[in-house]
Amino acid sequence: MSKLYVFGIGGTGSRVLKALTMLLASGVECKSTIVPVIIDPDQDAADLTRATEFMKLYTKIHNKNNYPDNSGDMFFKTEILQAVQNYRLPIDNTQNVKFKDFIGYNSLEDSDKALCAALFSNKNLNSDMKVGFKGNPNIGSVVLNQFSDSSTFKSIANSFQQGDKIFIVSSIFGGTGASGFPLLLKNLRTNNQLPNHKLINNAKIGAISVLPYFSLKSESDSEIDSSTFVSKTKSALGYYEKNISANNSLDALYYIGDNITNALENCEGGRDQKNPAHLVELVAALAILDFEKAVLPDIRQTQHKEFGIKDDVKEVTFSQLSSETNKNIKNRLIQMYLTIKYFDNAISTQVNYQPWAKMRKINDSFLGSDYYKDLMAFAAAFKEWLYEMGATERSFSPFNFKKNTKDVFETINGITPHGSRFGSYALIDHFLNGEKNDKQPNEEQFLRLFNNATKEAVELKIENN
Amino acid sequence: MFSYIYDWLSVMYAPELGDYLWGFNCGTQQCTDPEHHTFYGLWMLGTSIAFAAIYYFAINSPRFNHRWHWLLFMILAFATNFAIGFYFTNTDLQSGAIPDCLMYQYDSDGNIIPPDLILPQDCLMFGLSNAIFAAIFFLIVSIPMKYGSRNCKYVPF
Repeated sequence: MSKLYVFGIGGTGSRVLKALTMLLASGVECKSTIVPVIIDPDQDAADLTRATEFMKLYTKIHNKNNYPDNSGDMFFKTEILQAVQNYRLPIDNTQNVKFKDFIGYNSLEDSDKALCAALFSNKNLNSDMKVGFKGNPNIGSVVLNQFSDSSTFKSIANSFQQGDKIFIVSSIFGGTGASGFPLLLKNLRTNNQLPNHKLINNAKIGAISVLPYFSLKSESDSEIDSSTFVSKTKSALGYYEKNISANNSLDALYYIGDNITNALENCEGGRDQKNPAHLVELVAALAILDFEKAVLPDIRQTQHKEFGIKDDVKEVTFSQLSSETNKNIKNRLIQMYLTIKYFDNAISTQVNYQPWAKMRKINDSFLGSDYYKDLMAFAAAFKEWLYEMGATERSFSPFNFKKNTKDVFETINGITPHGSRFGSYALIDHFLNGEKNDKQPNEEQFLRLFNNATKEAVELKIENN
Repeated sequence: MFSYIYDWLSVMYAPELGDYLWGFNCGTQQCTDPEHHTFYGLWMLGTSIAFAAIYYFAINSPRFNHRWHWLLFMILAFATNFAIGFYFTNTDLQSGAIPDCLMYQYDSDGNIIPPDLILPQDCLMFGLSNAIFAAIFFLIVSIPMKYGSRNCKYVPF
């Protein structure tokens, strides 16, 4: 199976990888193995630790599944491969080191110091890089220029095979992403010291450049000023146009951004940098999947792609997504949502009565197993992800968590469910009870059961809606 | 066949009612009249199968597959057959369809010695025995039927 190496640079890179993990957990189609590589000097950033935690949890659950080769889209079907420890490319000499020490400022000649003063402010030079580059791509472009020497980067290159693809996720308005993306791309396209460099230099490479989609509250102590996001974006776009698009360095370049922006807490990094999930990150993850299945021409000619919604509304539901996007994600997200709601509201009672559970001896003991606990932990993360997307602006609110109704289908926004003989959870049980027992261990078939049952339920209740 | 089955619980009611159901003829002093057990037996069997089929195939609901739901249908089969057993035997009793030799004892002068040999309580007890058989048959037919049911496969066990 071919691999898609996804480089997530900076906080946005981690958050997009988290969104991708959620989509893959829902069973959105992806035929390649995903190899995430996070590039972020801020190893304690909550966005990064959350993303790695969920990817690890995903892999634990994925490894228990045993789907038949010919199975269609299934929950947790795609493999997420941990090629490097904690999915993160270590960046040397950034922990507890000031930028001026990193470049050996004190030992520079006076003329070089003068040049430095032209390129970097005093604040830049005294900046501690432990929490990243704090929105300063000029620092990032120096510090991140170490890929060619990284043994971890070389080991990633060593695993690269014919047919594998690469995708780079970065924001254009910050520090790490804006500086890391062109550097990484340059290394991938021109570095001839890497193992498999011929394959990598000529690989299909796509990227998404995330334009501003949030702002930060003004803080006098913070080095990050979100009022510069747009001007930095303009500068970077100009740079990309001349140095990336003009020479067709990429096979596909995706752009996403939003003119409605939330003002988030101004946090320079570390454990407090925990931005709520956002629709833009979900769309960026869709760009990865779009690139994964794209059939690209042999002669490289950068394709530029953007994403749009049907109506300019503050609360986006499935109704505002295009038919192609809905075809890719709508039913899968609904199936995942239904499964989680069933776990929350029905399973503990129904395992005592339903044939699907009794014939497989799925009982309270199974519900107390490590496997089920992992599943519940992931379900909680999935709900939190959906909830966060619903609470931001522009929000993505496909489900109404607050609506008090017994019929879970009625909590899917923008959809009028068809009538059916049984209530929602009973309908899922009805389809679960129709699933053949293939005598596999329960952990191997558990998610397949729910995948198939919720698929039938969705087809019955909301098809053509 | 039903006659032999009903005989198992015939101690619950008067032997004369049992003889009537066997088709006892006062003239021949033998069971030469048409027996009545088949009528009750077919009703009992038919209603037991019908109630089980309704439960396992028509309702066949994942929210109606607890043991007490099944028990409710067994009670329905029980009650229906109790009513059938009582109603038809009591109708025969009240209408005089039961031969006199089975209904009365006579003294040497030919006078009837009360009480009657078959009383309405006996009809009630026959209804009860009919209901017990219905419950047993309901259980028996449930066993093959449950395997064909999607949502009630594990009811009653």
